[in-house]
Amino acid sequence: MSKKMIVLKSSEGVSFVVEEAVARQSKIISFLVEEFPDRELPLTNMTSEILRKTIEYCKKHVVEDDGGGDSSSSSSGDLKEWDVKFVAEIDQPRLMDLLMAANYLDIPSLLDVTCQKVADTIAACNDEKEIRATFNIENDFTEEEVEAIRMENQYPI
Amino acid sequence: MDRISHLPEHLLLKILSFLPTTKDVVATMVLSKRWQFLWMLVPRLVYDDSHRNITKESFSRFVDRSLLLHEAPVLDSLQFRLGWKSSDVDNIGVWARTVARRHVRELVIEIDRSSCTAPSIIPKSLYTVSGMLVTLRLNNMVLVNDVSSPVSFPSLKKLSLDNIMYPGGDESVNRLLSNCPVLEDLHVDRSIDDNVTVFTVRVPSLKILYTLDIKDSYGGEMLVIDAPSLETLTIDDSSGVCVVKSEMPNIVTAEFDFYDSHSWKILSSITPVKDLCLCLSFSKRAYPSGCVFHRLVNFKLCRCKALWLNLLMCVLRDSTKLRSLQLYQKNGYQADQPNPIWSELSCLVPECLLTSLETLEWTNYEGTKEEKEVVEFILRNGRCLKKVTISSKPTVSGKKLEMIKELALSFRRSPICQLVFD
Repeated sequence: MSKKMIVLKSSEGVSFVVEEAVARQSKIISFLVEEFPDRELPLTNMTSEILRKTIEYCKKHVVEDDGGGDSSSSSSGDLKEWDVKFVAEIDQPRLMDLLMAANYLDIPSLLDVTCQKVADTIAACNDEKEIRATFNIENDFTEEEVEAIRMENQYPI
Repeated sequence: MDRISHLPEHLLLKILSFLPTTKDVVATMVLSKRWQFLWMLVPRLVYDDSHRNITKESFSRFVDRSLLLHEAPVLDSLQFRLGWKSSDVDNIGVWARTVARRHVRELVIEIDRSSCTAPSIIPKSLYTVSGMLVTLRLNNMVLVNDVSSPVSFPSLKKLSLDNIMYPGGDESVNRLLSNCPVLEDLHVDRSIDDNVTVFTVRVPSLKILYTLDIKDSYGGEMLVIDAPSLETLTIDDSSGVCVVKSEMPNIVTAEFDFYDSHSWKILSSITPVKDLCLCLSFSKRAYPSGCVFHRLVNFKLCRCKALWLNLLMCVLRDSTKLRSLQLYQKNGYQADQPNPIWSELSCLVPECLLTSLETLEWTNYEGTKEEKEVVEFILRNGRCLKKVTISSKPTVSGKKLEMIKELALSFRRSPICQLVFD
């Protein structure tokens, strides 16, 4: 039996032909496929680059039903390792895009992986100055305000 | 461009809840005004007093204040990891009250016993305020059996008791477990001096049980299991007697590593098992004859206990649907087999070799005479074999080529059988 394919279209109008099982990891696409079978699905706020990355992730995580029960194409340990490498290779702006894509398409595991990567980046910083510098966050507090907030929260330094 | 601050609030909260501790989360309040109050909504609080430059007083003040200011209506998880700085304080009881007020779903209290002098008593308030609690993990604490105070965990599904002392003895365990009416997953890691002789797990709703029990049976130590809904059972490194009081028709996975030969009777209670892992010293007297593992598909056997080969042949004989066989070494060595033994064992070919066995995986292969004989026997008779994987001990790399040659040239009954050397 040949596998059913669906077409996803990026914001630049590039079409991606994907196995339905792969795309269905997105709860949104899963819903759309059922409502509008045999239709191209336009993803107007996703660039081709991010869509390609998202598909790459979904392909790796697709669970194939081989008749004898569910079995993933890789073991869970291998998958975790692959996930870590997958997000490690992405620079910060694209990581944010991918996080937003996971949120938009509702792919829970991809959202977890990207959020974890952002959290790890924050945790690796020595202090708030380093976090601000890493993420370009503008400090709109005065020194005194920061001091007062710390006092109020009994933050241990 | 500051992308992160523009993320929707639920995503920022998700990111913050992935930070290791609440101290890291609260630290983000001074990043900018956007971040100032976000930490108060993060549904997970993890307090760890092991930070280098934190005093006992400042840690307590921080926990008090942040619990007070925190606003998430439902707390998914509340965790305390306490060392010498805080484990002796009465605060745990006060902090545990948050469990009731904030509808906590998961509570974890881990005490680093190596660094504290006085034992930490599980706060009494916890027994009665935990209506919404689904997961409870306690580590290195004392469970005081106070019959005057009621115990009630009506929603608890997962319970982990690691190194817990029970001054009230067997009865405190019974009392605790009988007040968990929907418990599904129980993890027990016992300590030598926990004051319990017969540890009884009588939980009709239980699906997963893991016990690690290093006690010996000289004092009449026993583990009694009465859990008819059990699906996964692990008895690890146990020296006492294990007794099963009820059949387990739903059992899927079982793993045993125990010393007491009386405990072998357990095997006849778990015959519907699909995955079985054994690390046992074989005794002909103990092996329950006549029990058939009619659903067993995956069998893992450790080669570090005496007469493992006899046990292997018994299980092969009794498992007609076996598809995968794995022979490993839990402790990195292989027990010596008294000879001669193989010629007796191999006179009858187990049915599963002819009809179902597809894969054999052998780790730490050393190429001894009997290892070679077993592999050759399986290759010679395995009619359905698809893949045989042999990974050799790294120390014998010089001999590896020799071993490969020997096995590669041996007869394979199954024409599609692939032989792989790792």
